[in-house]
Amino acid sequence: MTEVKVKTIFSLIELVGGHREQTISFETGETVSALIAELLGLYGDDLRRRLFDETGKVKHGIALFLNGRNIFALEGLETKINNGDEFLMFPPVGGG
Amino acid sequence: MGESNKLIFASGPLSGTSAPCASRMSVTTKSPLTCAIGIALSGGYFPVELKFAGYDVLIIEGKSEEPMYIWIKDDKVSIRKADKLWGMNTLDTQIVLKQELNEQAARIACIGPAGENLSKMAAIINERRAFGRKGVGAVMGSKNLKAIAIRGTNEFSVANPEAFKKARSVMLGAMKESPVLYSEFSKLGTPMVVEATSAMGMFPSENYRTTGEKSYVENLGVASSIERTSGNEHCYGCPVGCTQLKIARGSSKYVGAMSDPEYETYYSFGSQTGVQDHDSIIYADHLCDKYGLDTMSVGVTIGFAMELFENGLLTLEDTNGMELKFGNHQVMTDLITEIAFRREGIGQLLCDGTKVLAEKIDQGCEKYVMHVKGLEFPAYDPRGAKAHGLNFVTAYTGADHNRGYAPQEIFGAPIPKPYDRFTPEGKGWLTKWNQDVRCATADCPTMCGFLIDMALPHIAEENTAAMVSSVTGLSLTKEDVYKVRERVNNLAKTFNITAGFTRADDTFPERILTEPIKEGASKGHYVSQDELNMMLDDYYEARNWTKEGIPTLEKLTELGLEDVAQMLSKLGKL
Repeated sequence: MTEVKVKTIFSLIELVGGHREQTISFETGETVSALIAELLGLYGDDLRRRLFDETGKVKHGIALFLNGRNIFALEGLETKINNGDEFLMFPPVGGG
Repeated sequence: MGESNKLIFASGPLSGTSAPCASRMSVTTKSPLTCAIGIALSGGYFPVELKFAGYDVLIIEGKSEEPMYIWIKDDKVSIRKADKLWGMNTLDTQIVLKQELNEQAARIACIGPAGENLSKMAAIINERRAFGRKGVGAVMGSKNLKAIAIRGTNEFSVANPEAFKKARSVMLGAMKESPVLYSEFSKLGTPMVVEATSAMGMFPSENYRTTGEKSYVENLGVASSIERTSGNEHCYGCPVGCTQLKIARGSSKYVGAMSDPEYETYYSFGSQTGVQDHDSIIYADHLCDKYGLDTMSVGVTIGFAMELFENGLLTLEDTNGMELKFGNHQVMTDLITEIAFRREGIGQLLCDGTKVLAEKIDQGCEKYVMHVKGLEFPAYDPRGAKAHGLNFVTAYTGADHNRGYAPQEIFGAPIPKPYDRFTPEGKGWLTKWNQDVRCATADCPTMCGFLIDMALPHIAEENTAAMVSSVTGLSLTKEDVYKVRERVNNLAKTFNITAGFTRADDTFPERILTEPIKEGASKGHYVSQDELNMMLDDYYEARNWTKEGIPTLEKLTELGLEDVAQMLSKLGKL
């Protein structure tokens, strides 16, 4: 089994059980896509609608990072995940 | 701060129209803090008032022998004695001057005690907003100019109303489509970024010595911020209203203090000084507005002084008996007053920013100082965002996040494409791209940069061309906009070369080059000297500059800047 620490911030927290940080376990050798499927299984359609558009594409403004790296600069949703990795999901953020 | 320095207030071509988020103005001068070209931008209502009075640009030259203010009412301009206003804080100055003029509708930009005392961190304040950075308030103070009051009553028309209506409609549509502008940003403002950069392990802490090790989310994050929000403020013509008014709650000595701290303020008076007391940050922000100080440079300077104190390089004798320890909010707020009035002892030591403080203390303290070209760092640890950091190094104004913000690294933005924030590859090109977009679509037309980043990144140049053309009657294309942005960046670079800057000035402080971040989502990362050299080479090449960072004859000729090339040639630089 692979254990991944999943983190998120403000408006997404309420869609993942109110956890700013939680550990998710799933099969070794899986991808970001599998991890998200696990999360959708746990937290359902509200989370799905927040992350994906009707065509199944990640919505504009949603940012996903694996070990601090933007997955879309890696292999996208097919980026491999290893035991002990840290996955971070952002709702749309701007400013600064 | 010499008499020959100019202080230029410039509104943009769209200011005063019904274009959204266009009530912006720049103040440009040679910065006393950096000795490079300095630009500070602000919004509010002052910028459009200048347009309604019938002017685009106000250039202040020379110096008065005694304190004065300028009063502009449409086509009537007078320069009047300000001896009664001298010594007043900025908030009172605005109230008293409106009474003196018997004109409650006047809009005013003024300096406070910090500008009068020539602090190199002094700002110019309009209402509660600031032309904050690079010591523009000190330049105004050096001219003995206390305030500029404006009342404009003219109608403002656009050259091509139909084209303007169409272009504006495209803008409003893009704003509505933005996933963040109305849904999140108008409710939370910039302070929401505390949680984002904290999660990314790049929210700087304690003068960058503990980035990623200490969390400020519980005390300075969104929930804590919302508890203190008492409303929001809009600039003229802005439907977003990102400015979040905060009131200090609870039972601390700060209760009742009101201000509008931005993300950068939560860094400078929060994490940078190790302070977790939210209410003290609201109070510190209020003090800076009142005294006319740049919150960013002041907070970074205080954090630097705290590290010097904890390392024994500043003593109780130097600090007038104050314990400058990280986390001490009492000391943090007290120091702001010491700085504003250039008080003997610690006030005099700190009032001109980190670079001057480091020179005064010496003893190897350079390694703790967080600035580029004298401008204090913004709220992003560049060890966790390399293009964002390369912009600090190469921006013509010093460590200035707003000259080339990298949303690709901070928010995972996909335009022009997704980037890995830790790698140096391709970051020279990206930094040029970010600087050019910001310059041409926000700085030059004085549009709100937030609007461009959050709603228009995919059509930024087309939007600028369409809007400016419809208002002015020019026929600009997006290619013209590309050229403008390069002309500005090459001219500004040339200005700095003539001021003596070289490639050696395009560098990071020692800490960024040698100390990896110890904890958090950016753990283990830093920018090695080799990486910096590679990114700089990449950046200069992207700009068609020499290895020494000098614009080439080919580039200057392409941009129609042959006279600039001749000047560089005469100086032996080209």
